[in-house]
Amino acid sequence: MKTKLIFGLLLVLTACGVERAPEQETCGELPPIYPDYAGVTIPAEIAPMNFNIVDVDDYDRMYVKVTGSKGGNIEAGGDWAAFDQKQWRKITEQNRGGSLSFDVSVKKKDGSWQRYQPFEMHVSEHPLNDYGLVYRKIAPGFETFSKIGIYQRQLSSFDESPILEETAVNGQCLNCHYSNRGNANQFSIHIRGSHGGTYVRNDRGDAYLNTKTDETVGSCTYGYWHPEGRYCAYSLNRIFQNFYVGQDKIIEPWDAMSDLAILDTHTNQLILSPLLTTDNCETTPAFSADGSTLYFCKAPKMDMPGDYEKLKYSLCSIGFDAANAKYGEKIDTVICADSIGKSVSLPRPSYDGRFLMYCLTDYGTTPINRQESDLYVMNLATGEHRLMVEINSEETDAYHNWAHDSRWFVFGSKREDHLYSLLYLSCIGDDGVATKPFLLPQYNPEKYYGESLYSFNAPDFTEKVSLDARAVRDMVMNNPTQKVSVKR
Amino acid sequence: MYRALYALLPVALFVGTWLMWWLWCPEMMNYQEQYQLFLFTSSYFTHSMSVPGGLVDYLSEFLVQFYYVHWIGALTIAVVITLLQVLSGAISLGNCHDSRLKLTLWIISLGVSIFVLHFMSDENALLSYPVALLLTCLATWGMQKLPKCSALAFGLILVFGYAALYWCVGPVAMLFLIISIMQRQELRLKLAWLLGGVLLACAFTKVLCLTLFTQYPESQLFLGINYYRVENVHPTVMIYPPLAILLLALIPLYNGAKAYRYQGVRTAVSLVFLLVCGAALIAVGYKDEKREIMCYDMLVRQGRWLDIIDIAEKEKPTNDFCLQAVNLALAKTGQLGEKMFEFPQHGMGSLLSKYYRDNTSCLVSAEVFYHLGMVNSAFRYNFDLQESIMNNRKSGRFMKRMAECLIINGKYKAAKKYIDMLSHSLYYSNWAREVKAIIGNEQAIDNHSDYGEMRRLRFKQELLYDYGNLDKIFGLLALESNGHNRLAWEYFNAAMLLKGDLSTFTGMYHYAQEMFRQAETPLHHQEAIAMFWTFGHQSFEGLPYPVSDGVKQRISAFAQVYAKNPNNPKAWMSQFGNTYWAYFILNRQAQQPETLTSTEREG
Repeated sequence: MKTKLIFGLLLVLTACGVERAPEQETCGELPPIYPDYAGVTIPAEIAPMNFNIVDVDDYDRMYVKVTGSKGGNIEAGGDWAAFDQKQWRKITEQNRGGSLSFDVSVKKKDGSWQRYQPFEMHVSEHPLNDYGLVYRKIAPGFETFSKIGIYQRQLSSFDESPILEETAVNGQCLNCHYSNRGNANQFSIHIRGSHGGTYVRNDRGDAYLNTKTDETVGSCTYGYWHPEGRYCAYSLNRIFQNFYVGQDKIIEPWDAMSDLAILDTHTNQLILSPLLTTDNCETTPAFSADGSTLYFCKAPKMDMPGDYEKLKYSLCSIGFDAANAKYGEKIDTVICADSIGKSVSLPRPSYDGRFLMYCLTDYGTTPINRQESDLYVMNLATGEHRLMVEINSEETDAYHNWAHDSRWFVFGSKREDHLYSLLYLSCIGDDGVATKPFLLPQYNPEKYYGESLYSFNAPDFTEKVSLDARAVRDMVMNNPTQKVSVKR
Repeated sequence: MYRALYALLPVALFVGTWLMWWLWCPEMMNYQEQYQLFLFTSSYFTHSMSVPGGLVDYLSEFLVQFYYVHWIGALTIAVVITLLQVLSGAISLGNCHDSRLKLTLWIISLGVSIFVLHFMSDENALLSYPVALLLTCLATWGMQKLPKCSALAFGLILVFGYAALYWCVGPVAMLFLIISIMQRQELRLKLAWLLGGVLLACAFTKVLCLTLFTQYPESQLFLGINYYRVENVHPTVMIYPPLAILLLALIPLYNGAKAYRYQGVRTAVSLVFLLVCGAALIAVGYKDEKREIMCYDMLVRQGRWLDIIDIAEKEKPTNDFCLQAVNLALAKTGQLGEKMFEFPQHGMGSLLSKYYRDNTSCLVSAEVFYHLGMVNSAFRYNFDLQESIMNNRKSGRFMKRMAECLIINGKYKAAKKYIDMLSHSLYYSNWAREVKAIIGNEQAIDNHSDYGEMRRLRFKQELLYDYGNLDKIFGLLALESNGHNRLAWEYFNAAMLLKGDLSTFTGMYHYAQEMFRQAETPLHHQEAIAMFWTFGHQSFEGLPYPVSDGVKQRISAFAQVYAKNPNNPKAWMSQFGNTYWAYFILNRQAQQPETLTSTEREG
């Protein structure tokens, strides 16, 4: 009884906490909110799109009333707009395919209120059923790193949990997490450092592999799983880097050598092809939706680092027969770097086989370090490709990945401040045009992103991953026990 | 007189510690302060409190921020050290029922503080550990004052007290558990209690390992996450203070009456013994060549160029870190070409360091880049230095410099992120307020005494470089500034001399007068020119460069001595050791490759 009374009182107090704005005319301007959520399209399953009021002098508090085009309304107020999760979910479900109107008023310290012109968010009819996102959080350093970890974030809430942090593996560097279409039981993580190796989880269990061989140029670096789950394509890179003097650019990583191989996770064999182990640089592989084609980027060998501006990668493809573990006989050039004068990187075919999204930069193969990096999309049926003006920014836009249904996608962008990459989600239509992207919502976005000193790196959609970090630690500390062999 | 010692001892300890740290160890405080950034924000507190020992991390980082002002920083250390002595002494005295032994115990409690001071001489020792010991002593002393209660009540207080204390101070809470059990007079079967208590505490930690802290190695939860800056390292000296506290607390419980004679002698002997051993221990701990590095780092940070030269002239630095500081100081005061070979140079490493993955080696190099106008490189080094802090803390010093670099390069949004963060600190908030007022205002920044100047000095071309071709970058930077960036010109010349590239050095010499309006040719430049001339000429007749008669005479004298003793440097080092010629003969490096080199990432 006592408990109920306390909860009841708390509920009343909470309800009383929202100070409603008086009815008045709007000032005709959109509210100065952070993040910029005006006009974005969201999935009904997304966590509350909380936002802050920014750059208002003598700001005291705010009030927002959300009204759905198909009914329902909720409100929030206080220092920032923080919506109740259940109420939010209810109104977004109710308005699937419709829109939400946000009527924002701001109270100033002198007690006066200002009402802004309402803005809208569209609720997509396409559901986003993936559990969440997986990403690496890392300070965007140059030659060293500190706290680094791979995390998963539930999309319908603000819950974030670590999958693996560097504290668990004694300061080794964690590379990106690659899963097979978000499968929590088929993924790999390459670990660099004195105990480096490639951690692979598949239907046969977990293994920590030494993927460096005498016959290959480097360890498994950038990976992409074959849809059937037995094979994982990797680029084997030897990466060097130089630095700039000047005002804008700082770092220029480049591959001195890079080849492609496909790891058979059942036999721990690296399957090589003479076509993909040439003097040229082959990197960032990705299988097509049906697994019959392996896309990758390829550039001719250059005199590096002197010719760094000439290092331009074409988008190429080669066939792959999973039943016999055999590559095709020839390489096709899908987008020729010479013809467009740009460099292609990170091809990501949608899982439904409709689109292929990739980055274009002036040169090189690490779009995250290139301010001009933009996202492009290719219609795989027609071969047409276009700059996605609707989602790109003046800063780096890269590291994109598709949701399981191939409608939603996530990408990293440095549009906030030029330095830190944050995650944006968008939905692509049948015509290949995407909706205005929205920044991954946080409970208090201004505080969260303002205080974060991490880049959100290599995001992907995922099921909920369960990983025993201590078991991984034991494997890593004991060094890779299995060395991969090579099959040509 | 004996009674006075109860008050005198802590007072003397307080004053001694304060003066010692303030006057003798300011560079150590500077070193510690720059590897953390205490913020007055709720998230900083909650983040600290999210791990066992979080409260002491929070408190110690709060205290360490005062190291920014050395006399206040020393005061905070003195308070912690003194309170530790007082509380460990109080616990011991609380268990002692013979007044004749109390004074000796009180004196011996000095040992705890001495051990802690010894521990703090380690550059990676964090104040968290002394603060953890202090709070544990406080809790243990509180348990001593606990009125008589049933065994069950005592057990419950002990269990919950331990759990709470463990969360606040970390594994040193075990001390609280052991002493609390052992000093409880009415408790029976103490050994069983002790065994049960320790097992329960271990089980508690194990449960935490398996549930909340799967991302940490178990050893860290058992031995402390943040007592020491290096992950998973726990130096042996850390065991001495808790051991001393434990012994102090237990000795009176198990000591017979026979020993309690000759109080005066015992007091004097224990006092002298502790003072001698303490002084020796502290002297050994604090006499470390790392302090030389810390000292130069502090002086560079404070821009005390003349002090750097002064110190270097008293004792010539031998390592590259200190030489980089000395060379920067010489360059900032316009003496690099005049004096640099008075110090034992070691090639390019004496000007600038390539990046090493630790939090110290590149401290001076980061500053050199900044002063040279290589703003992006300064940003990069500061960023990586911050990321190299081994306990994953951020740094006020580095973050401020990074923000400055971003302001200079007009990256205001990223700069604002750091400025906002620094505005929540104590000693960087004034600066943050000042720059916040001008951020985004191009004219105000152009007119700013530092940032405006750096904008004029900085590199404006986007060029790829590597450590191996830095000398060319200095040259380009100097020439691009059209005579404005004199520091870059000094560094370019110094790099040429250090590499032994006299051909380029002499070939570029005309810029000295044309672009940099150099009134007098610095001594070492004259020496280099004279040497280069002698490579192709029999006499100085027709020498088109201003070389003084004194230099001409000296090089002739050097040539004669050297010709007689080419393989015996001792014969000419005493007379010519401070000349460029001696450096050239002894240290001339192979010419660097002309092509651009690169750094390979770890695979």
